[in-house]
Amino acid sequence: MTDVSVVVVFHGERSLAVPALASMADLVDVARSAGLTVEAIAVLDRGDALTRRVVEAAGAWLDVRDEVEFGDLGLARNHAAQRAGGEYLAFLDGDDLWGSDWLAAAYRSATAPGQPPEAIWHPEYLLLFDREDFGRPNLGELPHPGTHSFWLAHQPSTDPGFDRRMLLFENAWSANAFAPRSFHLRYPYRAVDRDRAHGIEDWSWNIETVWAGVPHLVVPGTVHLIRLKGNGSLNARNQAEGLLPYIPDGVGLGG
Amino acid sequence: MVGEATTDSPRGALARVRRALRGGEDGPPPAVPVRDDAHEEETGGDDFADVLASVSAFLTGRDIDAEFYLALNVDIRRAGIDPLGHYLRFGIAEGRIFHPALSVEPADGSTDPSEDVSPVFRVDGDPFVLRIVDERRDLDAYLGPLNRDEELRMASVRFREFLSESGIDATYYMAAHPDIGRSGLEPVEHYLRHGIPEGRLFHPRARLVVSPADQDQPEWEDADVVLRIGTNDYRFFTLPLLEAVADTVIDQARDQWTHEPSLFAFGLPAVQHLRMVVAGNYPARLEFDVGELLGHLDGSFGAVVVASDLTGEYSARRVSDLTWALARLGMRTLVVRTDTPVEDDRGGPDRALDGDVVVVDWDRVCRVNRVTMLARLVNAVKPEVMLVVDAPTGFEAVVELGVGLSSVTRLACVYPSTGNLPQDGGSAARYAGLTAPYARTFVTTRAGAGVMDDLWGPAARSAARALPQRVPLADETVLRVRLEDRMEQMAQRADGRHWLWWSPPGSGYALLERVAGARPADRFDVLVRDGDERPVRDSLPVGVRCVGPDDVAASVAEIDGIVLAHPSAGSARMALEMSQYLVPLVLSDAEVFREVLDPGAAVFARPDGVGDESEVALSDALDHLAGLGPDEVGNLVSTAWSLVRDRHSDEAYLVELSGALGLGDD
Repeated sequence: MTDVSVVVVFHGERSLAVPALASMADLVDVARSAGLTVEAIAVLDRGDALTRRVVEAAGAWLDVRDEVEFGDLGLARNHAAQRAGGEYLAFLDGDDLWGSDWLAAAYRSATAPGQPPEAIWHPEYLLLFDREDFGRPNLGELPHPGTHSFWLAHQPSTDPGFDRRMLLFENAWSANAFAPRSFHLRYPYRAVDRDRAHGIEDWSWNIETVWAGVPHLVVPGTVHLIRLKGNGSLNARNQAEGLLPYIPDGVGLGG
Repeated sequence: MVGEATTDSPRGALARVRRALRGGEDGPPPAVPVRDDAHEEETGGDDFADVLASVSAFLTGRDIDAEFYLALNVDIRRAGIDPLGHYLRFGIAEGRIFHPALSVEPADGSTDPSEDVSPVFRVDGDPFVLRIVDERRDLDAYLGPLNRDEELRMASVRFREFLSESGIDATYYMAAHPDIGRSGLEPVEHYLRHGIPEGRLFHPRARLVVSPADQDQPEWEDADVVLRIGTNDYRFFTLPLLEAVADTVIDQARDQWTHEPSLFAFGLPAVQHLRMVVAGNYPARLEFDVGELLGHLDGSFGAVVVASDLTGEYSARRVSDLTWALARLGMRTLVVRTDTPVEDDRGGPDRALDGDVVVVDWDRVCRVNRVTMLARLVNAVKPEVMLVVDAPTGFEAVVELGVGLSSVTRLACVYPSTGNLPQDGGSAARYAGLTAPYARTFVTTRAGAGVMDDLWGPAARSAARALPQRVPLADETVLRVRLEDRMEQMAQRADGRHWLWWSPPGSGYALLERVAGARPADRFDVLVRDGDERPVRDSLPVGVRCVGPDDVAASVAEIDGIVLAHPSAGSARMALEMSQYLVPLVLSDAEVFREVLDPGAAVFARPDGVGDESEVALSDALDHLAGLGPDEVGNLVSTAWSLVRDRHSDEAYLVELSGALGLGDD
């Protein structure tokens, strides 16, 4: 059985797919060098022509290239979960990059003795970077005061200071998670419902899984490199679309 | 050189100080070391005690205290000595100024104490008096610029102590803002004078919270230093040093640089000094105090009511009526107050809310992204209904996230408008058209609802409605007594009539003056309700008194009627309430009144307006009411009472509100 299926989802990343695929190739190489069997999958969901050409040209090394017409990131991931053969599944967004140890380290953490059999793993750090910072030169070791780029440290849900109700107001983890594939089959992502303006697939999924009692843990010493767009906010798109996360029945501020 | 006198005469010194006060070229008053030794030969002993007592009495009687002197003369404040004693002994000779409303001048034999002139006292053997030269007592105009320099000096001392204790220096500030080095200013001084107002960051670990002075909140108690500058408090918090990101992590990131050159657009050498955010630290990350919020939220809520504040007459009464009704409909209510009032500025404390209510002050919870966070709160609470009562933050949440919100709750927006846009409906004019596609629209009158439908009906989720008013009904036993009192009063009344007048606070008194002037035999009193601003005595016509809320129940039996000439939602409310006292009503002929009372229940004056015609119409209406017999007046007040009972009782309100919200439709 394949140890890990790593899935990158594209839709309209265009040239940004080039560094993403290169970074993904590093991930896969390091994991395979560590002795893991890795299945590398790209899903192009209602992709534009340029993104398709980029994925074809820069992703020739991929094991699977799949095209779907969902127009929905959650449904594209669900499709990949069905399609993949790995015991674990790692999702990647098609415009980010990842520290090359991510897959190998996440697999080691997930399979280490004493760890819960079903947990969702996140990197310890995100380095959120903004190309607009080229216009804000640093001062030696000090960043320019107007620098947008910043570090974000993930916190495990098992941390004593973590109150799961906080999740109802803001997402606590990024979308590029690592978890058993069986888990993804049991807790699929929900599609965005634009008629009801609810969605934000990863945030809604985090809420659902936390309330289901699944721990969200961090893999020490790992980093994802997240591209800031627009006004620099991770939630800019969701806010612009007026979306709210799904709150399942039984989930609320009561505890 | 303690207390050495300047070579100026007192007048010369005062003139110099006054020039400085006005920003003249002499600069601020001289920093003369304070002296508190006694000059027994002129100012000591019993004689001086007598002088001090008499001058002190003179100043006290004219509302002049030592606040200015102490504010201006920090050395005296710190020495803790009696300010007036110091002034008389040394301050005059040193050119100090006790109060800007005072002049000190030599006394001659003809100078006698008077209303404006103090008893004579001696300085260096020469007689002087203090004279009131300026009636102004407001010290702000005098103290502002002077205090600012002293405040900044004190602030710089304390800020330096804070930096020293925190292990923070000015290296970052100087490096991040190269212009400061060129300015020639010392960095702390530059920061306090210019950096803060210019929004500059002193150091990434020195977090600053600025608030109006004396606005304490629990989470601010941990401030490492509080600087008072002007009318604001500047609180600094030292952010903890975060663990450095491990080199192995940075190496992994750096390895990706060849794939994405913009990865280190901020400059790789600065990678360890980038801002670090801990995802679960919502107060630091989002300025959202989730702990403060969750501390209030126990259990579930059937309704969320968003109100701007709970001190205004409209908002407080509307919200209280709503929470009362929602409780009777089985709903616990979360009230989100979006603007915490400053009590002294808003005319009184919060009104108590009826019902099963939890109040959350959004200001204390959420400082940025307030609209989105409010929508997320409602999304999490999933109440059966969400009502926004004249609260812009709530209206904006409906506008921006109305599709999502309307899928989890019934939305209703309550506007204090009679449809007379934009005069009485600032928020309605701005938001009603934008909220209508997602939320029910409630206004004050049926006419107002018609205006809303004309304007925005095609895009609206449902027709606009007049939100009913709930009026506490008088007990029937009490009513019988009141009716008997009314009949007795009419039987005993003399020629002149006694009228109560009510108009929204601060308005309508010009018309009252004309009406009262035209009816010299009648007596007019202005009614002041609980929570109303009491009118300034001088703004009322001659002979008109204020009747406070405590006097109403006792005096209505002696009143021939209440005049409500100003058409407004508040006036309509007043008419409904006074109907329960069986007070005959004289109303202007406005839609807002016609909607709540019929001609058989009140005397309507035509036409509406504030000109002579209105004065004549009102006077005619008063004549008409004065001419009615006891039975006719009895019919009038009884009809008003029964109409209000039928339309505005608790039961009627519940039925109306439930229907307006569509409860039970599903």
